[in-house]
Amino acid sequence: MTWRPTHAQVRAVTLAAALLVVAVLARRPDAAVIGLPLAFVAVWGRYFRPRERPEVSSELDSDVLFEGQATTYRLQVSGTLDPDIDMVVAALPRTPWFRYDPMQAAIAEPVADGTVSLEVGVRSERWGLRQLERPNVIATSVLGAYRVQVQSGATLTVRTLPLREGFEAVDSVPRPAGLVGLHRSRRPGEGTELAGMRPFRTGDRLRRINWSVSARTRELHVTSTWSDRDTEVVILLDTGIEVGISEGIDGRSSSLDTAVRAAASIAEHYLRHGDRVRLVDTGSVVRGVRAGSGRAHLRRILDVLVHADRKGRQQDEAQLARRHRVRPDSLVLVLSPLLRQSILGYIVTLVHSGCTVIAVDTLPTDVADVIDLEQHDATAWPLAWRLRLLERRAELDRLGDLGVPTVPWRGAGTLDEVLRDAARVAAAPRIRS
Amino acid sequence: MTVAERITRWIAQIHASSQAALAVRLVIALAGAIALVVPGVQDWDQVDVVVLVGPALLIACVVLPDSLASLMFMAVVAGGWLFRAPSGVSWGVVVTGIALLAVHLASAFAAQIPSYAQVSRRALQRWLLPAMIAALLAPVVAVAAALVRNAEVPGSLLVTVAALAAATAAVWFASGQSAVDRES
Repeated sequence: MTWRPTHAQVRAVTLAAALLVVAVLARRPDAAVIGLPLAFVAVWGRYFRPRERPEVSSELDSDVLFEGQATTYRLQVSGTLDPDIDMVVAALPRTPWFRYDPMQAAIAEPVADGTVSLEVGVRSERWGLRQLERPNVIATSVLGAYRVQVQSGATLTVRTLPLREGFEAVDSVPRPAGLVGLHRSRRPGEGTELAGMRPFRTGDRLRRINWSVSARTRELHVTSTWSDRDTEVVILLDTGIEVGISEGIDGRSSSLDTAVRAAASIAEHYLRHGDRVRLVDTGSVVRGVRAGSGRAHLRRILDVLVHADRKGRQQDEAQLARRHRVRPDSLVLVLSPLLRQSILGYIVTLVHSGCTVIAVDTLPTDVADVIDLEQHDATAWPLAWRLRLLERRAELDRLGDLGVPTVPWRGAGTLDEVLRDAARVAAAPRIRS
Repeated sequence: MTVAERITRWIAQIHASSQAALAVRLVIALAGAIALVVPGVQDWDQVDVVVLVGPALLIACVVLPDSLASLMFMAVVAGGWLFRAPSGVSWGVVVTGIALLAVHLASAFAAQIPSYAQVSRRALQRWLLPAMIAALLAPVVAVAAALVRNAEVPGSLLVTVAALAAATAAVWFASGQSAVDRES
């Protein structure tokens, strides 16, 4: 594509030609008064016609963002610009879940000193892997006489990680089992959490002797501690259904939004405390993340969560049980709207295998009010939801009878109460039959 | 895209219009109004087609600056002047000429930016000099023409042919034709 005359240049040339011919042939000086300025503008525009076509490259300051985080999209002209190019205009097409600054993502920047750089702020509003469309870029000559469409670079991909708010829970897990970690176990041993004072016994380390207490009681006493342990936290993400409306990080959340964000927050919390975290996605056979710990493992989990999609092939209860075997002493957090029988069945299987299961309810509270008038009957839809929710309430009660507490996701502190209860139940003495 | 979607998009674009786009459209509207009103207040009768079609074309110029509307508007106004006005130079033709030039330049600037684009303040830097010269040309030519007419210099075939040749050369060059370098 080459530099082409615009409507403005065609207009100036046509009118100037007509008026000047009339002025000369009909001896009309008034035609010359109107036509000569236009002729001058046309000649100026033609004389300063650019020859070279600019090439534009695009780049993002950061292609990995957290939800709500912003970065800068830069358009830069590679090489030296033709000095006769007056202005470069770029417009980014709208892409779902991105907000631009300026709002319409269209910028006109004059060429100064042979270079031009256009910057647009890009804010990602929802987790996921998305592409920013190529911008429409044109370059124009002075007086808007000529114009050329500029080839812009390749489409850019932005990976938005579903992590924003800090999640905190009480420092207790029902069955701490590993050798290292930050949770206080039920067992005395080497650790940092103070358990009490007791008389010295054979085998105690000398550095554990509390000399002030020993001097006061005239008997050797040691400071005893609880051992520090970790646990395996399994996050079961139900991607089989998405209920509710997704409006991004600043608006309403669908059940899948809530589940993915909760999974990221929970994983970050437990990995920060030294636990091993495993992710099971019901919608994918291969996208689970095996148990692991550390910052790199958090990134692995977040990268998998980015792909969470309800369009994935869902596994039924038997497939879940066969493909995702969970250790009996694990803490399993089920993030689900709890509407599918396969998930409820798998929870029962986990409970019977000895896991501590906590169901985090991700169903939006206003689910019955969300009506698509083109697809749903305005009268029957809320009624149907009401019936379904009553049925679901009964199913959750049955889960509660099995020892599976259900809590709605409320961010930080969601799991505190149920974790304390689960830890208390696990610590209670048991009678073996 | 349905009509409803198109209207919705237009309304959204009007809401999102930048100050530069609004200002340049205001210039088109004002200059166009002057170009319509000034011939109307002259001694001679204005051509009816200018009164009837001119305002509609001016609205089209404001809404669609990157279209043939501006060309048609300017042709109608200039044609109306040439059809009815007496062959002479007055302040009216100078004002009309400058107004039409303003319509042309504002339309050219508005045509190259989307209405919602954020425009840098330096965008008109390279337009000022040619625009000023072009605007000054109108009174200069008018004064020169008045002087020549008052001096009663008789026209000659040679002067006419030279002027025609100069006009042809200017138009030939401005339209992008070149006898030397020809682009593929």
